[in-house]
Amino acid sequence: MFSSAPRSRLVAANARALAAGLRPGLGLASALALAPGLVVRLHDPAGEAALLAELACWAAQFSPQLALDPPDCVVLDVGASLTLFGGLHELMARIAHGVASLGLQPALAAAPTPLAARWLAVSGGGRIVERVEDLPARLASLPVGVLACTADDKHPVRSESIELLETIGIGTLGQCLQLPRDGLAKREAQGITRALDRAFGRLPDLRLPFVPPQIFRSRIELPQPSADTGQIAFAVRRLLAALAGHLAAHQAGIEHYRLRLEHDNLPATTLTVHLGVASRDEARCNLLAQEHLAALRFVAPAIAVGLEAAQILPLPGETATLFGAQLGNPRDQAAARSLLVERLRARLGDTAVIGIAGQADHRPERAWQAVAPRNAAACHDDACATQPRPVWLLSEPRPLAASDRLQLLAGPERIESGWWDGHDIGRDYHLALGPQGRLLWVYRQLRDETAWFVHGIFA
Amino acid sequence: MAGILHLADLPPRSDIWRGDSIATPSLPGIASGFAALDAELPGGGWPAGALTEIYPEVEGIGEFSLLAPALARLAIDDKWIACIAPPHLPYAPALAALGIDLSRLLVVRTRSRAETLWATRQSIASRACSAVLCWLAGADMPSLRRLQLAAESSPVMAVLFRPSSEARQASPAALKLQLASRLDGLALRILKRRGAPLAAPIVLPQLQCTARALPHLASHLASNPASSELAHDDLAGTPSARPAAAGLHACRACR
Repeated sequence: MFSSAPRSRLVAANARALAAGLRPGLGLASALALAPGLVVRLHDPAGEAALLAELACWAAQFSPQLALDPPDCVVLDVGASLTLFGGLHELMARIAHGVASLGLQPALAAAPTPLAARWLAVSGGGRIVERVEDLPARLASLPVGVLACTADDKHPVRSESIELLETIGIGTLGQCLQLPRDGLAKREAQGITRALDRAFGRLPDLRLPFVPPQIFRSRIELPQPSADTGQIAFAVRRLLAALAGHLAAHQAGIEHYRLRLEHDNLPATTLTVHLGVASRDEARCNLLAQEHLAALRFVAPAIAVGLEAAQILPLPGETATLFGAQLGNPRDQAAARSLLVERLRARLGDTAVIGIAGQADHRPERAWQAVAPRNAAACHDDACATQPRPVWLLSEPRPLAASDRLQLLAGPERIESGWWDGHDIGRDYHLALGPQGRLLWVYRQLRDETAWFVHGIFA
Repeated sequence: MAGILHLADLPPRSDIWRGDSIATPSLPGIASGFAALDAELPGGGWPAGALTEIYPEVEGIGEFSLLAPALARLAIDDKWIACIAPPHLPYAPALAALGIDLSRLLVVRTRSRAETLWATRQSIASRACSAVLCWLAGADMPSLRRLQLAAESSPVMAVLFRPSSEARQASPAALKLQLASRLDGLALRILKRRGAPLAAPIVLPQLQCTARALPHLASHLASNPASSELAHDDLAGTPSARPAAAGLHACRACR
């Protein structure tokens, strides 16, 4: 592995490369000269960080108290988990086996303080120290190089300090412990004494707890680029099955998730699928995804499908009833209602499905408003109880033609309002009977007395 | 040998009815709120779990008001009343005045007939609606049959409003009504029902044009039917100081 800095250097090497004489820090050209068959990979710090976070998520099953110790370590506080997992040795065996099955090579160590455990792990792993009193003796043989890992940004041990120790013939922590503290302080190496104090439990070692991200992300590459809804739906089903498993294991639900269709050379198509309620029902997720896909127009064939569920919410499990699902269960009813709305929205668009509500305004076109379904408030206008109002309101008042023959039945009802917001109206409304018994709501402008309009239909 | 089996002795079935009587559907009907109409409808009301088709002669003769009492009652259920592809905006104050709970109302706007049919079928089949009203023109037999099939599996009141010109087209609906406005009320001609045909139309005086819009004005007009018929030109000349009819008053919001 090498870094992409101006002069490429080795960052890490595997056992065979080390045996060939390669060392981290070596220039890439020298390394290739030493081992012509060397396979090099670009160092990817972001990828490493992501991998470490993934490892921490996985490790959270062993203890809720854990911290990241970048670049390559996860610190677990297992004190409270020992009984559950059958003791320290049993637990470490399980962790080692699990990490190996993730495709990583673990170096495990256990100690009463996080820093001591870290140093033991860095210098080989597999070692266990159970008591604080044993720490100085057991750590004495470790090389001073481990001091580079302190997980302390305020008082880091600078590389010059370690070089200083090495030049004066101090090779191990045991020798380092015998150095006078004030002497180290004079040489600006207080970081070393602080690190040693933390490792031996004389200073507290506070770590930022790692919080597993509330997000689920997964991705499937399609075998070949496809604009076929069926193939993509198949991939989506697999992703959703994984999501459902994840949510069930965490007793959680989601309200929406995002599908990403990746294309060659084009920005990805993103679909946001709303479930309407917090749910982890795979069938529901699937149904809505199919609706979105059916309405989708492909800009290009998709090469991969990604699924991302942010905002994972706690959702307790349900107790199954002895005699199966009860019809008319209010919770099922609510789920069915919201599912219908979300299905219609998925296919027809968000603005196509609305509820309507009354609004306190005398102007007919403002006496209602479109709202989210079920958010309707009652009508506030007192006049609507006593005055006739049509079932249909025309979106735009239609001018009456001269040939329209109407019979005025009742009126006028004068509505004059709205001077304060620039949309003022002054109208005399009448009920009018048209041909074939149509009942219309017509008005005449106060300003222009010859202009008559139809504004509503009494259906 | 057993005696001759009489047809009338056969056990009653919801899908078999005698030509001289009205069928008894498996689901009781949804009371329409009009006794004269309920008496003629199989099941004593609007069919549940079957399609109803309504063909108004023109829009604006009371086709929505005809359903209003049933809708107001259905709104008590915690389910949607879906209006799919309505021709105009359903006006909240009017619906509230008809007693329909607005929070149950779902208005769905569509861009094509295919979308209208799809949305209607989903709504009917969802079991989340107590009533589905759909305004549909130019539907073909297969799509109507799909709607009817969807309706059969769910106790929903499914009503299609279709243009009068399509009234004679064959349809799988359980009930077809043609509406026309008459001086004495709204005339309902039953084009099809599960039972004997009905020759004379049912007239609902409650839905007479003036009675519909102004219940309290109806009596006044009936006793004083001196409303003048005016052409548009005459309307223009009518002074705005025409005496306010009974019960109407000028409304100034900015008092």
